[in-house]
Order: sequence, then C-alpha cells, then structure tokens
Amino acid sequence: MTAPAEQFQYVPRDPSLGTASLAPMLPLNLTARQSVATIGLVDSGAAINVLPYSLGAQLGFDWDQQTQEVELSGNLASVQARVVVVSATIGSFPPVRLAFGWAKTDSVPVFLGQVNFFMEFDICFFRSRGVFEIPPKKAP
Amino acid sequence: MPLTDVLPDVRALSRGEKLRLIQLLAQELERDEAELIEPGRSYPLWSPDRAFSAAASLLQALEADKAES
Repeated sequence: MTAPAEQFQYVPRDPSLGTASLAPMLPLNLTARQSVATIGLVDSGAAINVLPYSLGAQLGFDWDQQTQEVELSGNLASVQARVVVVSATIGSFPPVRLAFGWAKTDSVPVFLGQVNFFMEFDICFFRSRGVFEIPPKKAP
Repeated sequence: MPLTDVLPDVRALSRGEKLRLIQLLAQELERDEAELIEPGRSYPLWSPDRAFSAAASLLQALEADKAES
C-alpha cells in the first residue's frame, strides 16, 4: 500500500496583506551541532537553499570556520554567503542532508530551492486550495 | 450559506434585479482581485534565482559530505 502524501498549509507571511502574502512555508527541523525547529519558504525559483545568519549561528556554525564562499544573486547579490551542510527532517520523512548558502544577513527567510531541496523532494502546489503536498519518495 | 439555498431566491428575482445582481458580483470580484497587490507598496523579491555557481558549490559540498560519512 502506498503511503499518502504529506500535506502542508500555505500561511500568510504578512498579516496586513492577508491572502496576497500566502506562501508555502514548510516546517522542518535542522540539525548540525545543535537542532533548531524552523520554517522554510519552498521556492522553486531559488537556485539554492539559503539560511539566514542567526539560524546558522543557532545551529552552532562559526562564520570564520566556514571558508567556502558562494555568490548569491538578485536582491542578495551584495550579501556574503558561505556553504554549510545540515541534516533536515520534514514530517515523517527520513532525514536528508541539505546544503545551504549561509547568508550574512537576517533579512531573508530560510529558502528551500532547487539545489538541493527540490533534488530531495517532489512538491505539488495547490495554491487555489491553500495547500501543498510532498508525496512519498519513489525508489530510484 | 450553500449556493443551492440561495438559488431559488435568485431565480425569483425580476430580470432587472438579476442584472443588478450580476453587476454587484462582478464589482465585488474585481475589488477582491485588485486588493491582492496594493499600488505603491513594496514587494521585495529575495529569491537567489540565478545563483548557479553557488548551486555548483553546494553540490560539491554535498559530495564531500557524502564521502566523509
């Protein structure tokens, strides 16, 4: 028997904008040296996953120890970022390793982008119903 | 209230009242849609949509992470 897809709600990111600010925000647990429960914006237009600075610090990363720099783009082009890899648990799915561009700013949400969130999970968006789903993984 | 409850009352309206109802509903829908994006308000787009070299670096980091574990 196939396990059902796990369903998540779109949530308003700006209460003053209501429906206009609804976005697919995914609850997840990130673990590095510490574990942190957070929510991430599921963003199929983002090339990479992005982690805001304070969250990386909460996970126990030291900025000076992370030497691999990456260049962001768009509004984030001027923001420094470094690579970190963490374990991520979503719903009842087994943990996966996610690589993030750890940005030196808190002006961004957690972005879950093409590399490598979308490489790990298939996402079905149902914006008209205000929900999105992650079906169970198929064997490769 | 379900539409099926309202329909008998709507059908009982005169032709003129039905036209007026259509106008009111169309105006209401237009107003709802216009409120989705407010003129003059800032809507920043933060997505790193072209960070492809960063994406390549993340993939390398994941390969290294896999090799270590």
